[in-house]
Amino acid sequence: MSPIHKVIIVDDEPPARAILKAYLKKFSEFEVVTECANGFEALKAIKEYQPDVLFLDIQMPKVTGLELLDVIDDPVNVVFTTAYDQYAIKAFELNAIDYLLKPFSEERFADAINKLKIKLTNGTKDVISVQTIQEEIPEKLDRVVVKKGSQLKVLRLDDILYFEAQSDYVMVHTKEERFLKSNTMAWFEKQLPEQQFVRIHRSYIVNSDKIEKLEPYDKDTHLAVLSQEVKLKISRTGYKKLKEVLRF
Amino acid sequence: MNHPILSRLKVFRLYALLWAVVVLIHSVVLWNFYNIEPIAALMDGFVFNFFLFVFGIEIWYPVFYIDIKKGLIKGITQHIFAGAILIWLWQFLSQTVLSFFLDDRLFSILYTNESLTVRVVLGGLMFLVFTLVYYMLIFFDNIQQKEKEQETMQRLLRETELKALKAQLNPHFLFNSLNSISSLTITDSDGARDMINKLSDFMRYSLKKNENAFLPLREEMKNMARYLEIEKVRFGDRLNCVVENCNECSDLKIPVLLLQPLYENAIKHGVYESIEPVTIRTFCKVVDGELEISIINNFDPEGIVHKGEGVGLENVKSRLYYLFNRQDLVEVNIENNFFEVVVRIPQLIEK
Repeated sequence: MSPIHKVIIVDDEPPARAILKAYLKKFSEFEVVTECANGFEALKAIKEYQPDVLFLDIQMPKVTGLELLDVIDDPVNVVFTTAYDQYAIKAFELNAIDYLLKPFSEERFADAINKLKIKLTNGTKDVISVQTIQEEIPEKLDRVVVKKGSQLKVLRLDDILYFEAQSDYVMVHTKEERFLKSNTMAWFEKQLPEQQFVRIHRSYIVNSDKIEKLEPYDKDTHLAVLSQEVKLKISRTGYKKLKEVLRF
Repeated sequence: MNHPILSRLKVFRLYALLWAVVVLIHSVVLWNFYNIEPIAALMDGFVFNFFLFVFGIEIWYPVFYIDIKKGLIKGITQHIFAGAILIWLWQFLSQTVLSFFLDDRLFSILYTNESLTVRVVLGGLMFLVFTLVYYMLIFFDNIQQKEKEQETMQRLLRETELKALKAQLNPHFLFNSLNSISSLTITDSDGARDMINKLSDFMRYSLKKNENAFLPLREEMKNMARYLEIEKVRFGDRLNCVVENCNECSDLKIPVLLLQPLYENAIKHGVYESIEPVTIRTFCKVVDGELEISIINNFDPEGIVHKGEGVGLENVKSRLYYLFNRQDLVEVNIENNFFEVVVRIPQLIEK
Protein backbone atom coordinates (compact mmCIF):
# COMPACT_ATOMS: atom_id res chain seq x y z
CA MET A 1 0.00 0.00 0.00
CA SER A 2 1.28 3.40 -0.91
CA PRO A 3 1.96 5.94 1.84
CA ILE A 4 -0.58 8.63 2.66
CA HIS A 5 0.36 12.06 1.31
CA LYS A 6 -0.38 15.07 3.48
CA VAL A 7 -2.20 17.91 1.79
CA ILE A 8 -2.83 21.50 2.87
CA ILE A 9 -5.35 23.65 1.04
CA VAL A 10 -4.75 27.40 1.04
CA ASP A 11 -7.52 29.60 -0.33
CA ASP A 12 -9.36 32.59 1.10
CA GLU A 13 -12.74 31.55 -0.29
CA PRO A 14 -14.55 28.78 1.63
CA PRO A 15 -16.35 27.28 -1.41
CA ALA A 16 -13.04 27.06 -3.25
CA ARG A 17 -11.60 25.00 -0.39
CA ALA A 18 -14.76 22.89 -0.23
CA ILE A 19 -14.56 21.77 -3.85
CA LEU A 20 -10.91 20.79 -3.51
CA LYS A 21 -11.77 18.73 -0.45
CA ALA A 22 -14.69 17.12 -2.23
CA TYR A 23 -12.57 16.21 -5.27
CA LEU A 24 -9.79 14.88 -3.07
CA LYS A 25 -12.11 12.46 -1.25
CA LYS A 26 -11.91 10.08 -4.20
CA PHE A 27 -8.18 9.75 -3.84
CA SER A 28 -7.58 7.80 -0.66
CA GLU A 29 -3.81 8.18 -0.77
CA PHE A 30 -4.20 11.93 -0.18
CA GLU A 31 -5.26 13.30 3.17
CA VAL A 32 -6.17 16.91 3.83
CA VAL A 33 -4.47 17.63 7.16
CA THR A 34 -5.71 21.20 7.41
CA GLU A 35 -6.98 24.11 5.40
CA CYS A 36 -5.98 27.73 5.62
CA ALA A 37 -7.69 30.97 4.63
CA ASN A 38 -4.56 33.08 4.21
CA GLY A 39 -0.79 33.08 4.03
CA PHE A 40 -0.29 33.68 7.74
CA GLU A 41 -2.22 30.58 8.72
CA ALA A 42 -0.56 28.64 5.94
CA LEU A 43 2.98 29.35 7.06
CA LYS A 44 2.24 28.07 10.57
CA ALA A 45 0.43 25.02 9.22
CA ILE A 46 3.29 24.14 6.88
CA LYS A 47 5.75 24.29 9.79
CA GLU A 48 3.46 22.14 11.88
CA TYR A 49 2.37 19.48 9.39
CA GLN A 50 5.26 19.32 6.92
CA PRO A 51 2.85 18.61 4.04
CA ASP A 52 3.74 16.84 0.80
CA VAL A 53 1.34 18.83 -1.30
CA LEU A 54 0.06 22.40 -1.27
CA PHE A 55 -3.02 23.49 -3.16
CA LEU A 56 -2.38 27.19 -3.32
CA ASP A 57 -4.50 30.13 -4.39
CA ILE A 58 -2.56 33.15 -5.64
CA GLN A 59 -4.79 36.14 -4.93
CA MET A 60 -5.27 36.27 -1.16
CA PRO A 61 -5.50 39.12 1.34
CA LYS A 62 -2.23 40.78 2.34
CA VAL A 63 0.08 38.00 1.17
CA THR A 64 -0.26 36.33 -2.22
CA GLY A 65 0.40 32.66 -2.81
CA LEU A 66 3.59 33.56 -4.67
CA GLU A 67 4.83 35.67 -1.79
CA LEU A 68 4.05 32.86 0.63
CA LEU A 69 5.99 30.36 -1.42
CA ASP A 70 8.91 32.74 -1.42
CA VAL A 71 9.36 32.45 2.33
CA ILE A 72 8.80 28.70 2.71
CA ASP A 73 12.04 26.85 3.42
CA ASP A 74 10.72 23.30 3.36
CA PRO A 75 10.35 21.82 -0.10
CA VAL A 76 6.78 21.09 -1.04
CA ASN A 77 4.89 20.16 -4.19
CA VAL A 78 2.64 22.97 -5.29
CA VAL A 79 -0.52 22.96 -7.36
CA PHE A 80 -1.75 26.47 -8.02
CA THR A 81 -5.48 27.09 -8.10
CA THR A 82 -6.43 30.53 -9.33
CA ALA A 83 -8.78 32.47 -11.56
CA TYR A 84 -5.83 34.31 -13.09
CA ASP A 85 -3.99 32.97 -16.06
CA GLN A 86 -1.22 35.54 -16.21
CA TYR A 87 1.05 33.64 -13.83
CA ALA A 88 0.61 30.32 -15.60
CA ILE A 89 3.16 30.34 -18.38
CA LYS A 90 6.23 30.42 -16.20
CA ALA A 91 4.72 28.14 -13.59
CA PHE A 92 4.56 25.35 -16.15
CA GLU A 93 8.11 25.90 -17.32
CA LEU A 94 9.17 25.67 -13.72
CA ASN A 95 8.41 22.84 -11.44
CA ALA A 96 4.89 23.68 -10.41
CA ILE A 97 3.16 20.35 -10.57
CA ASP A 98 0.10 21.92 -12.10
CA TYR A 99 -1.83 25.11 -12.53
CA LEU A 100 -5.58 24.79 -12.17
CA LEU A 101 -7.69 27.60 -13.56
CA LYS A 102 -10.89 28.14 -11.60
CA PRO A 103 -13.39 26.74 -12.15
CA PHE A 104 -11.91 23.36 -13.08
CA SER A 105 -13.56 20.03 -13.81
CA GLU A 106 -13.07 16.82 -11.88
CA GLU A 107 -11.24 15.34 -14.88
CA ARG A 108 -8.84 18.24 -14.97
CA PHE A 109 -8.31 17.84 -11.24
CA ALA A 110 -7.62 14.09 -11.71
CA ASP A 111 -4.90 15.04 -14.21
CA ALA A 112 -3.25 17.18 -11.57
CA ILE A 113 -3.48 14.32 -9.08
CA ASN A 114 -1.83 11.95 -11.58
CA LYS A 115 0.99 14.40 -12.09
CA LEU A 116 1.34 14.66 -8.33
CA LYS A 117 1.47 10.89 -7.96
CA ILE A 118 4.25 10.58 -10.53
CA LYS A 119 6.20 13.28 -8.79
CA LEU A 120 5.65 11.80 -5.34
CA THR A 121 6.68 8.26 -6.32
CA ASN A 122 9.84 9.66 -7.90
CA GLY A 123 10.53 10.94 -4.43
CA THR A 124 11.80 14.46 -4.89
CA LYS A 125 10.03 17.53 -3.77
CA ASP A 126 10.63 20.68 -5.69
CA VAL A 127 10.47 24.23 -4.65
CA ILE A 128 9.36 26.54 -7.35
CA SER A 129 11.64 29.45 -7.81
CA VAL A 130 9.17 32.22 -7.29
CA GLN A 131 11.71 34.73 -8.41
CA THR A 132 11.44 33.52 -11.95
CA ILE A 133 7.66 33.54 -11.92
CA GLN A 134 7.45 37.03 -10.58
CA GLU A 135 9.92 38.30 -13.11
CA GLU A 136 7.21 37.81 -15.70
CA ILE A 137 5.00 40.34 -13.96
CA PRO A 138 5.92 43.78 -15.23
CA GLU A 139 4.58 45.58 -12.17
CA LYS A 140 7.07 46.73 -9.59
CA LEU A 141 7.05 45.42 -6.05
CA ASP A 142 4.88 47.41 -3.67
CA ARG A 143 5.69 45.40 -0.56
CA VAL A 144 8.10 42.74 0.68
CA VAL A 145 6.90 39.68 2.55
CA VAL A 146 9.30 38.31 5.16
CA LYS A 147 9.25 35.60 7.78
CA LYS A 148 10.03 35.79 11.45
CA GLY A 149 9.97 32.34 13.01
CA SER A 150 6.69 30.96 11.77
CA GLN A 151 5.16 34.40 11.42
CA LEU A 152 4.70 36.29 8.20
CA LYS A 153 5.31 39.99 8.07
CA VAL A 154 4.36 42.32 5.27
CA LEU A 155 6.76 45.23 4.98
CA ARG A 156 5.72 48.39 3.18
CA LEU A 157 8.43 49.79 1.00
CA ASP A 158 8.28 53.00 3.02
CA ASP A 159 9.27 51.09 6.15
CA ILE A 160 12.39 49.60 4.59
CA LEU A 161 15.67 51.45 5.16
CA TYR A 162 17.95 49.44 2.94
CA PHE A 163 18.85 46.03 1.49
CA GLU A 164 22.22 44.51 2.23
CA ALA A 165 23.97 41.71 0.35
CA GLN A 166 24.77 38.67 2.49
CA SER A 167 26.44 35.99 0.33
CA ASP A 168 23.48 34.17 -1.26
CA TYR A 169 20.88 36.12 0.66
CA VAL A 170 19.70 39.64 1.08
CA MET A 171 19.18 41.25 4.47
CA VAL A 172 16.21 43.59 4.59
CA HIS A 173 16.68 46.33 7.19
CA THR A 174 13.84 48.29 8.79
CA LYS A 175 14.19 50.73 11.65
CA GLU A 176 13.74 48.11 14.35
CA GLU A 177 14.38 44.77 12.71
CA ARG A 178 16.10 42.91 9.91
CA PHE A 179 15.01 39.94 7.85
CA LEU A 180 16.75 37.48 5.57
CA LYS A 181 15.36 36.93 2.06
CA SER A 182 16.51 34.34 -0.43
CA ASN A 183 16.32 36.63 -3.47
CA THR A 184 19.37 38.21 -5.07
CA MET A 185 20.44 41.85 -5.01
CA ALA A 186 20.11 42.04 -8.79
CA TRP A 187 16.53 40.80 -8.57
CA PHE A 188 15.60 43.39 -5.96
CA GLU A 189 17.32 46.11 -7.92
CA LYS A 190 15.16 45.24 -10.90
CA GLN A 191 11.87 44.80 -9.04
CA LEU A 192 11.97 47.79 -6.73
CA PRO A 193 10.74 51.19 -7.96
CA GLU A 194 13.93 52.87 -9.20
CA GLN A 195 12.80 56.34 -8.19
CA GLN A 196 12.89 55.28 -4.55
CA PHE A 197 15.46 52.50 -4.27
CA VAL A 198 19.01 53.05 -5.50
CA ARG A 199 21.84 50.56 -5.71
CA ILE A 200 24.50 52.77 -4.14
CA HIS A 201 27.05 50.04 -3.68
CA ARG A 202 27.72 46.41 -4.57
CA SER A 203 26.34 45.54 -1.15
CA TYR A 204 23.58 48.11 -0.67
CA ILE A 205 20.26 49.15 -2.14
CA VAL A 206 19.05 52.16 -0.19
CA ASN A 207 15.64 53.75 0.24
CA SER A 208 16.52 57.25 -0.96
CA ASP A 209 13.70 58.79 1.11
CA LYS A 210 15.51 57.68 4.25
CA ILE A 211 18.81 59.38 3.54
CA GLU A 212 19.35 62.26 5.95
CA LYS A 213 22.56 63.53 4.46
CA LEU A 214 25.65 62.57 2.51
CA GLU A 215 29.07 62.73 4.11
CA PRO A 216 32.43 62.61 2.36
CA TYR A 217 34.26 59.40 3.25
CA ASP A 218 37.62 59.54 1.55
CA LYS A 219 38.98 61.18 -1.55
CA ASP A 220 36.12 60.40 -3.95
CA THR A 221 33.66 58.23 -2.08
CA HIS A 222 30.76 59.19 0.16
CA LEU A 223 28.67 57.86 2.98
CA ALA A 224 24.87 57.86 3.02
CA VAL A 225 23.75 58.76 6.51
CA LEU A 226 20.37 57.29 7.43
CA SER A 227 20.72 57.81 11.16
CA GLN A 228 23.35 58.16 13.82
CA GLU A 229 24.04 54.43 13.70
CA VAL A 230 23.43 53.65 10.05
CA LYS A 231 25.96 54.95 7.56
CA LEU A 232 26.34 53.17 4.21
CA LYS A 233 29.21 53.33 1.79
CA ILE A 234 28.47 54.75 -1.64
CA SER A 235 30.52 53.66 -4.64
CA ARG A 236 31.42 56.08 -7.41
CA THR A 237 28.76 54.73 -9.81
CA GLY A 238 26.33 54.59 -6.92
CA TYR A 239 26.92 58.27 -6.27
CA LYS A 240 26.06 59.09 -9.88
CA LYS A 241 22.81 57.12 -9.67
CA LEU A 242 21.91 58.80 -6.41
CA LYS A 243 22.57 62.18 -7.95
CA GLU A 244 20.06 61.42 -10.69
CA VAL A 245 17.35 60.26 -8.32
CA LEU A 246 17.80 62.96 -5.71
CA ARG A 247 18.52 65.62 -8.35
CA PHE A 248 21.35 67.48 -6.67
CA MET B 1 -19.98 82.42 -27.89
CA ASN B 2 -17.84 84.30 -30.40
CA HIS B 3 -19.13 87.09 -32.59
CA PRO B 4 -21.22 85.35 -35.27
CA ILE B 5 -20.05 87.68 -38.06
CA LEU B 6 -16.51 88.66 -37.10
CA SER B 7 -15.37 85.20 -36.03
CA ARG B 8 -15.86 83.68 -39.47
CA LEU B 9 -14.39 85.25 -42.60
CA LYS B 10 -16.95 83.58 -44.85
CA VAL B 11 -19.87 85.05 -42.95
CA PHE B 12 -18.20 88.46 -42.86
CA ARG B 13 -17.78 88.46 -46.65
CA LEU B 14 -21.41 87.48 -47.12
CA TYR B 15 -22.46 90.24 -44.72
CA ALA B 16 -20.38 92.81 -46.62
CA LEU B 17 -21.81 91.63 -49.92
CA LEU B 18 -25.33 91.96 -48.58
CA TRP B 19 -24.70 95.58 -47.64
CA ALA B 20 -23.14 96.31 -51.01
CA VAL B 21 -26.39 95.16 -52.61
CA VAL B 22 -28.37 97.34 -50.18
CA VAL B 23 -26.20 100.35 -51.09
CA LEU B 24 -26.94 99.74 -54.73
CA ILE B 25 -30.70 99.42 -54.25
CA HIS B 26 -30.75 102.46 -51.99
CA SER B 27 -28.96 104.60 -54.57
CA VAL B 28 -31.03 103.41 -57.50
CA VAL B 29 -34.26 104.10 -55.63
CA LEU B 30 -33.15 107.65 -54.75
CA TRP B 31 -32.04 108.28 -58.32
CA ASN B 32 -35.07 106.81 -60.09
CA PHE B 33 -37.98 107.63 -57.81
CA TYR B 34 -36.84 110.77 -56.06
CA ASN B 35 -34.93 112.22 -59.04
CA ILE B 36 -31.80 112.82 -57.03
CA GLU B 37 -28.52 113.25 -58.88
CA PRO B 38 -26.60 110.00 -59.30
CA ILE B 39 -23.53 111.19 -57.39
CA ALA B 40 -25.56 112.36 -54.41
CA ALA B 41 -27.74 109.23 -54.48
CA LEU B 42 -24.67 107.00 -54.49
CA MET B 43 -22.99 109.03 -51.75
CA ASP B 44 -26.08 108.89 -49.56
CA GLY B 45 -26.54 105.16 -50.19
CA PHE B 46 -22.93 104.50 -49.31
CA VAL B 47 -22.61 106.63 -46.18
CA PHE B 48 -26.05 105.82 -44.78
CA ASN B 49 -25.52 102.10 -45.18
CA PHE B 50 -21.84 102.01 -44.27
CA PHE B 51 -22.65 103.11 -40.75
CA LEU B 52 -25.52 100.62 -40.58
CA PHE B 53 -23.02 97.99 -41.68
CA VAL B 54 -20.71 98.94 -38.80
CA PHE B 55 -23.49 99.25 -36.23
CA GLY B 56 -25.01 95.93 -37.29
CA ILE B 57 -21.83 94.33 -36.11
CA GLU B 58 -21.87 96.46 -32.96
CA ILE B 59 -25.38 95.48 -31.92
CA TRP B 60 -24.05 92.03 -31.03
CA TYR B 61 -22.40 93.35 -27.90
CA PRO B 62 -25.44 94.62 -26.01
CA VAL B 63 -27.23 91.37 -26.93
CA PHE B 64 -24.29 89.36 -25.65
CA TYR B 65 -23.69 91.26 -22.43
CA ILE B 66 -27.20 92.16 -21.30
CA ASP B 67 -28.63 89.30 -19.28
CA ILE B 68 -32.37 89.23 -19.86
CA LYS B 69 -32.77 86.56 -17.19
CA LYS B 70 -31.76 89.06 -14.52
CA GLY B 71 -34.87 91.11 -15.21
CA LEU B 72 -36.88 91.45 -18.39
CA ILE B 73 -37.81 95.10 -17.96
CA LYS B 74 -34.29 96.07 -17.00
CA GLY B 75 -32.92 94.19 -20.03
CA ILE B 76 -35.36 95.77 -22.44
CA THR B 77 -34.66 99.26 -21.04
CA GLN B 78 -30.96 98.68 -21.51
CA HIS B 79 -31.55 97.56 -25.10
CA ILE B 80 -33.70 100.60 -25.90
CA PHE B 81 -31.06 102.85 -24.39
CA ALA B 82 -28.29 101.18 -26.40
CA GLY B 83 -30.46 101.40 -29.53
CA ALA B 84 -31.15 105.12 -29.02
CA ILE B 85 -27.46 105.88 -28.64
CA LEU B 86 -26.58 103.89 -31.72
CA ILE B 87 -29.28 105.50 -33.87
CA TRP B 88 -28.29 108.99 -32.75
CA LEU B 89 -24.61 108.24 -33.38
CA TRP B 90 -25.42 106.76 -36.75
CA GLN B 91 -27.43 109.84 -37.84
CA PHE B 92 -24.84 112.21 -36.46
CA LEU B 93 -21.97 110.47 -38.23
CA SER B 94 -23.71 110.05 -41.59
CA GLN B 95 -24.91 113.66 -41.62
CA THR B 96 -21.45 114.96 -40.72
CA VAL B 97 -19.76 112.92 -43.44
CA LEU B 98 -22.37 113.81 -46.09
CA SER B 99 -22.27 117.54 -45.32
CA PHE B 100 -18.52 117.38 -45.68
CA PHE B 101 -18.62 115.85 -49.17
CA LEU B 102 -21.78 117.42 -50.60
CA ASP B 103 -22.62 121.06 -51.10
CA ASP B 104 -25.48 122.64 -49.12
CA ARG B 105 -27.99 122.39 -51.93
CA LEU B 106 -27.68 118.62 -52.40
CA PHE B 107 -27.51 118.07 -48.64
CA SER B 108 -30.72 119.96 -48.01
CA ILE B 109 -32.50 117.91 -50.72
CA LEU B 110 -31.39 114.68 -49.02
CA TYR B 111 -32.07 115.78 -45.49
CA THR B 112 -35.54 117.15 -45.20
CA ASN B 113 -37.51 116.72 -41.97
CA GLU B 114 -39.58 114.08 -43.68
CA SER B 115 -36.61 112.03 -44.83
CA LEU B 116 -35.03 112.24 -41.38
CA THR B 117 -38.13 110.59 -39.86
CA VAL B 118 -38.03 107.82 -42.46
CA ARG B 119 -34.33 107.32 -41.80
CA VAL B 120 -34.73 107.09 -38.03
CA VAL B 121 -37.66 104.67 -38.33
CA LEU B 122 -35.68 102.57 -40.77
CA GLY B 123 -32.71 102.62 -38.41
CA GLY B 124 -34.92 101.57 -35.50
CA LEU B 125 -36.30 98.68 -37.52
CA MET B 126 -32.78 97.63 -38.47
CA PHE B 127 -31.78 97.72 -34.85
CA LEU B 128 -34.75 95.53 -33.94
CA VAL B 129 -34.04 93.03 -36.71
CA PHE B 130 -30.38 92.73 -35.77
CA THR B 131 -31.16 92.30 -32.10
CA LEU B 132 -33.70 89.57 -32.79
CA VAL B 133 -31.38 87.74 -35.19
CA TYR B 134 -28.58 87.79 -32.64
CA TYR B 135 -30.90 86.50 -29.94
CA MET B 136 -31.94 83.68 -32.19
CA LEU B 137 -28.33 82.78 -32.91
CA ILE B 138 -27.58 82.64 -29.19
CA PHE B 139 -30.68 80.57 -28.61
CA PHE B 140 -29.66 77.99 -31.23
CA ASP B 141 -26.12 77.97 -29.96
CA ASN B 142 -27.40 77.15 -26.48
CA ILE B 143 -29.42 74.28 -27.84
CA GLN B 144 -26.36 72.93 -29.60
CA GLN B 145 -24.32 73.28 -26.43
CA LYS B 146 -26.96 71.34 -24.52
CA GLU B 147 -26.95 68.61 -27.12
CA LYS B 148 -23.20 68.32 -26.86
CA GLU B 149 -23.40 68.00 -23.09
CA GLN B 150 -26.10 65.40 -23.44
CA GLU B 151 -23.87 63.48 -25.77
CA THR B 152 -20.97 63.56 -23.32
CA MET B 153 -23.28 62.26 -20.65
CA GLN B 154 -24.52 59.46 -22.85
CA ARG B 155 -20.94 58.49 -23.58
CA LEU B 156 -20.13 58.45 -19.88
CA LEU B 157 -23.13 56.27 -19.19
CA ARG B 158 -22.07 53.85 -21.87
CA GLU B 159 -18.60 53.77 -20.36
CA THR B 160 -20.04 53.02 -16.94
CA GLU B 161 -22.10 50.23 -18.36
CA LEU B 162 -19.08 48.84 -20.12
CA LYS B 163 -17.07 49.07 -16.94
CA ALA B 164 -19.82 47.42 -14.94
CA LEU B 165 -19.94 44.68 -17.51
CA LYS B 166 -16.20 44.27 -17.42
CA ALA B 167 -16.32 44.16 -13.63
CA GLN B 168 -18.71 41.26 -13.91
CA LEU B 169 -16.53 39.56 -16.45
CA ASN B 170 -13.26 39.99 -14.61
CA PRO B 171 -11.52 36.95 -13.21
CA HIS B 172 -11.94 38.19 -9.66
CA PHE B 173 -15.63 38.08 -9.88
CA LEU B 174 -16.89 35.83 -12.64
CA PHE B 175 -14.50 32.90 -12.49
CA ASN B 176 -14.39 32.83 -8.72
CA SER B 177 -18.19 32.98 -8.64
CA LEU B 178 -18.40 30.13 -11.12
CA ASN B 179 -15.94 28.21 -8.99
CA SER B 180 -18.18 28.75 -5.98
CA ILE B 181 -21.13 27.47 -7.95
CA SER B 182 -19.13 24.46 -9.03
CA SER B 183 -18.36 23.80 -5.38
CA LEU B 184 -21.96 24.27 -4.31
CA THR B 185 -23.18 21.69 -6.81
CA ILE B 186 -21.46 19.10 -4.63
CA THR B 187 -22.18 20.46 -1.17
CA ASP B 188 -25.44 22.36 -1.62
CA SER B 189 -27.27 22.00 -4.90
CA ASP B 190 -30.11 24.36 -3.89
CA GLY B 191 -27.53 26.97 -3.04
CA ALA B 192 -25.87 26.43 -6.40
CA ARG B 193 -29.13 26.95 -8.24
CA ASP B 194 -29.83 30.04 -6.16
CA MET B 195 -26.45 31.49 -7.00
CA ILE B 196 -26.80 30.80 -10.71
CA ASN B 197 -30.12 32.66 -10.66
CA LYS B 198 -28.63 35.60 -8.81
CA LEU B 199 -25.64 35.79 -11.11
CA SER B 200 -27.89 35.68 -14.17
CA ASP B 201 -30.26 38.31 -12.82
CA PHE B 202 -27.40 40.53 -11.86
CA MET B 203 -25.77 40.34 -15.26
CA ARG B 204 -29.06 40.73 -17.09
CA TYR B 205 -29.88 43.88 -15.12
CA SER B 206 -26.93 45.80 -16.45
CA LEU B 207 -27.37 44.49 -19.96
CA LYS B 208 -31.03 45.34 -20.18
CA LYS B 209 -31.36 48.58 -18.31
CA ASN B 210 -29.23 50.79 -20.53
CA GLU B 211 -31.95 53.05 -21.87
CA ASN B 212 -33.61 54.06 -18.62
CA ALA B 213 -31.25 56.51 -17.07
CA PHE B 214 -33.15 56.72 -13.76
CA LEU B 215 -34.70 53.92 -11.73
CA PRO B 216 -36.29 53.71 -8.29
CA LEU B 217 -33.78 53.08 -5.53
CA ARG B 218 -35.70 49.91 -4.74
CA GLU B 219 -34.62 48.28 -8.01
CA GLU B 220 -31.04 49.43 -7.81
CA MET B 221 -30.73 48.14 -4.25
CA LYS B 222 -32.30 44.84 -5.24
CA ASN B 223 -29.65 44.40 -7.87
CA MET B 224 -26.87 45.39 -5.50
CA ALA B 225 -28.22 42.88 -2.98
CA ARG B 226 -27.80 40.16 -5.62
CA TYR B 227 -24.23 41.23 -6.21
CA LEU B 228 -23.43 41.31 -2.50
CA GLU B 229 -25.09 37.94 -1.89
CA ILE B 230 -22.97 36.38 -4.60
CA GLU B 231 -19.87 37.81 -2.96
CA LYS B 232 -21.14 36.61 0.41
CA VAL B 233 -21.20 33.04 -0.83
CA ARG B 234 -17.58 33.44 -1.93
CA PHE B 235 -16.27 35.06 1.21
CA GLY B 236 -18.56 33.59 3.88
CA ASP B 237 -18.17 35.24 7.29
CA ARG B 238 -15.57 37.66 5.98
CA LEU B 239 -18.29 39.75 4.38
CA ASN B 240 -21.32 41.20 6.15
CA CYS B 241 -23.84 43.55 4.63
CA VAL B 242 -26.26 45.78 6.47
CA VAL B 243 -28.80 47.99 4.74
CA GLU B 244 -30.62 50.49 6.94
CA ASN B 245 -33.61 52.80 6.48
CA CYS B 246 -33.76 52.38 2.76
CA ASN B 247 -37.47 51.58 2.72
CA GLU B 248 -38.59 55.20 3.07
CA CYS B 249 -36.49 56.21 0.08
CA SER B 250 -37.29 53.22 -2.10
CA ASP B 251 -39.37 55.20 -4.59
CA LEU B 252 -36.79 57.93 -5.08
CA LYS B 253 -34.92 57.87 -8.36
CA ILE B 254 -31.28 57.05 -8.87
CA PRO B 255 -29.16 56.80 -12.03
CA VAL B 256 -28.95 53.19 -13.07
CA LEU B 257 -25.86 51.27 -11.86
CA LEU B 258 -24.57 54.33 -9.99
CA LEU B 259 -23.85 52.42 -6.79
CA GLN B 260 -22.20 49.41 -8.43
CA PRO B 261 -18.65 50.86 -8.50
CA LEU B 262 -18.97 51.90 -4.86
CA TYR B 263 -19.86 48.41 -3.63
CA GLU B 264 -17.23 46.97 -5.89
CA ASN B 265 -14.64 49.25 -4.27
CA ALA B 266 -15.78 48.25 -0.80
CA ILE B 267 -15.30 44.59 -1.71
CA LYS B 268 -12.03 45.08 -3.55
CA HIS B 269 -10.31 47.25 -0.98
CA GLY B 270 -12.14 45.97 2.06
CA VAL B 271 -12.66 42.24 1.67
CA TYR B 272 -9.97 41.27 -0.84
CA GLU B 273 -7.22 42.77 1.25
CA SER B 274 -8.42 41.99 4.77
CA ILE B 275 -8.25 38.87 6.87
CA GLU B 276 -10.69 40.23 9.43
CA PRO B 277 -14.43 40.34 8.65
CA VAL B 278 -15.59 43.38 6.72
CA THR B 279 -19.03 44.92 7.14
CA ILE B 280 -20.53 47.06 4.41
CA ARG B 281 -23.25 49.34 5.79
CA THR B 282 -25.66 51.28 3.64
CA PHE B 283 -27.74 54.18 4.96
CA CYS B 284 -30.36 56.10 3.01
CA LYS B 285 -32.11 59.32 3.90
CA VAL B 286 -33.64 62.40 2.37
CA VAL B 287 -31.82 65.67 2.95
CA ASP B 288 -33.31 68.88 1.52
CA GLY B 289 -35.26 66.88 -1.00
CA GLU B 290 -32.17 65.02 -2.18
CA LEU B 291 -31.59 61.32 -1.76
CA GLU B 292 -28.50 60.74 0.33
CA ILE B 293 -26.85 57.32 0.34
CA SER B 294 -23.92 56.51 2.55
CA ILE B 295 -21.84 53.36 2.08
CA ILE B 296 -19.37 52.57 4.86
CA ASN B 297 -16.95 49.70 5.14
CA ASN B 298 -14.13 48.93 7.50
CA PHE B 299 -10.78 48.09 5.95
CA ASP B 300 -7.32 47.03 7.00
CA PRO B 301 -5.27 50.23 7.21
CA GLU B 302 -2.11 48.21 6.78
CA GLY B 303 -3.27 46.97 3.41
CA ILE B 304 -1.21 48.18 0.50
CA VAL B 305 -2.85 50.72 -1.77
CA HIS B 306 -2.68 49.44 -5.30
CA LYS B 307 -2.37 51.42 -8.47
CA GLY B 308 -5.44 52.20 -10.50
CA GLU B 309 -7.61 52.78 -7.48
CA GLY B 310 -10.23 55.44 -7.48
CA VAL B 311 -11.26 54.91 -11.09
CA GLY B 312 -14.67 53.71 -9.99
CA LEU B 313 -15.11 56.63 -7.65
CA GLU B 314 -14.08 59.14 -10.32
CA ASN B 315 -16.59 57.60 -12.65
CA VAL B 316 -19.41 58.08 -10.15
CA LYS B 317 -18.34 61.69 -9.64
CA SER B 318 -18.25 62.56 -13.31
CA ARG B 319 -21.56 60.85 -14.00
CA LEU B 320 -23.27 62.91 -11.32
CA TYR B 321 -21.52 66.03 -12.56
CA TYR B 322 -22.87 65.59 -16.07
CA LEU B 323 -26.32 64.68 -14.85
CA PHE B 324 -26.75 67.55 -12.39
CA ASN B 325 -23.92 69.96 -13.20
CA ARG B 326 -22.79 69.87 -9.57
CA GLN B 327 -19.49 68.84 -8.12
CA ASP B 328 -20.54 68.57 -4.50
CA LEU B 329 -22.51 65.36 -4.80
CA VAL B 330 -19.84 62.85 -3.77
CA GLU B 331 -18.04 62.99 -0.47
CA VAL B 332 -15.38 60.61 0.80
CA ASN B 333 -14.48 60.25 4.46
CA ILE B 334 -11.65 58.10 5.72
CA GLU B 335 -11.50 57.80 9.48
CA ASN B 336 -9.38 55.30 11.37
CA ASN B 337 -10.15 52.13 9.49
CA PHE B 338 -13.50 53.17 8.06
CA PHE B 339 -14.07 54.23 4.50
CA GLU B 340 -17.25 56.14 3.76
CA VAL B 341 -18.66 57.38 0.49
CA VAL B 342 -21.68 59.69 0.64
CA VAL B 343 -23.58 60.24 -2.58
CA ARG B 344 -26.35 62.80 -2.95
CA ILE B 345 -28.82 62.47 -5.77
CA PRO B 346 -31.08 65.47 -6.52
CA GLN B 347 -34.61 64.42 -7.37
CA LEU B 348 -35.86 65.71 -10.69
CA ILE B 349 -39.43 66.96 -10.37
CA GLU B 350 -41.66 64.97 -12.62
CA LYS B 351 -45.12 66.08 -13.63
